[in-house]
Amino acid sequence: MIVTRALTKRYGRLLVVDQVDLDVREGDRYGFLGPNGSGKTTVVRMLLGLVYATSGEITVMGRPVPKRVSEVLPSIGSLVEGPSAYGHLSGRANLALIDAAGKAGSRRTRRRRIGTALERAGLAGVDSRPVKRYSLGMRQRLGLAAALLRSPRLLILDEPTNGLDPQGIREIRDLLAELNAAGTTVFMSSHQLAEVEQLCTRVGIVDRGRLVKQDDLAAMRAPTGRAIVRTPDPDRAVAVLDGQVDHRDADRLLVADADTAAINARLVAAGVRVSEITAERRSLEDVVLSVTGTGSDHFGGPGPVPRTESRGTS
Amino acid sequence: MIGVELVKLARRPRSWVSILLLCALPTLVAVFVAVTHLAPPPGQGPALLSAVLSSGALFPAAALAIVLPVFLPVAVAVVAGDSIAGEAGSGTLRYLLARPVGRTRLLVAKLVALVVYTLAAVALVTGTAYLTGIAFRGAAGRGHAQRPDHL
Repeated sequence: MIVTRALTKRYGRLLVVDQVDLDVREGDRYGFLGPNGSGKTTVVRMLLGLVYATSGEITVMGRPVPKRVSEVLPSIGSLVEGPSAYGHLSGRANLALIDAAGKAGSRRTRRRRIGTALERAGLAGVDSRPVKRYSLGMRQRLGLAAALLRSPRLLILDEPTNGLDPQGIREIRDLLAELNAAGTTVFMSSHQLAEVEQLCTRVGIVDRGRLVKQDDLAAMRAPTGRAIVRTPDPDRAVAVLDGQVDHRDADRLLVADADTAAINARLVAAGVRVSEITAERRSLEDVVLSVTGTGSDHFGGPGPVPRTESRGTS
Repeated sequence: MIGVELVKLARRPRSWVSILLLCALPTLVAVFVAVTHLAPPPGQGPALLSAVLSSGALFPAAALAIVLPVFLPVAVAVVAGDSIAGEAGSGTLRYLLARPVGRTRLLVAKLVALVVYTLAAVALVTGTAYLTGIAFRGAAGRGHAQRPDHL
């Protein structure tokens, strides 16, 4: 669906995107992760032909971008850099204007399509108040509705759940999963790991303009070959699992053996009570933090800084 | 696309307020002239002013002379700037470009909408000026009917 080769964008002397090779396949739910200011939005803008790359190639749905982007844009729904709408008009009027711009669908079905899009985005019952009186979450939903207007084959969403409350985030997640099941490829950028971890099947991690990792989420979160054991008798467990315990943290033991069933059998045979035993997996957060530096909005100097500090919301 | 731009223009309060102000200006002048007798009597003073004072139906010419040199260009510049820079600032422009609407087509559509706006503004100013001229002709006539008494 989306392939980029050595995609590079330079603003003057500032290298914003550096040799990015994206590969989004049809049917993917692709999470594009990175700290603030790492170039996610610039990549999204280049994919849509809103800014031109300094060098490198982009192919979206088999068409070169930006040369023939107008052929694929009608089947792409997008949300870039937050939603925006004409503040003095109602949500419906905004969607009607957006729908009428460009190669619009049939005028007769417009009202119905707007109704469907609003319903999907969770704004079905919205009144005719102007958009400037909408809350941030409502604006976000309106932006999503605009992206869904033409039943797109590809959704390119930049921070789609910004400003939504937990229920809203969950609704949008379900909506995207449902659309994906119906055949829509979803490409979303985010700096919220939990969201990507719960929704996406494939993840690309970008840091300071470089794509540092791109893989299936399942592969990233593969078992590490160690097991986590929780037991009320940690001392005896350590004795039984002689030498295999890598790390002990109160009643939590890290055992260098992936076979949880065998560990369990040995412990129980030795009369050690086991309250919990599970294979250790890396969380997406571990993966991301291991491959990225601090966000580029952090200007704290070169010293070692806690990496989590830079992940503010913006 | 031209239709979309026209609808946007027509539903933006700013465009109507600017036209309203353009129409209000000559009306204000007409009221001022009728109420104060400051104007020279017909036949004296500048030719245009004299002609306008003798017939209310000619007042649109005076109104356009007031509005065209400065105020109309300012109003058009404000609306034109708003239709491109305003949309770029509020972020709606990039959604139009991602629809996709070609950049040239978008600019042409905005230009056409702006020409329509300008013509509508001129027509409305002329129309209101004609109405005010007719309405105040009696007052103006009384103005110079009284004038001989003062002489």
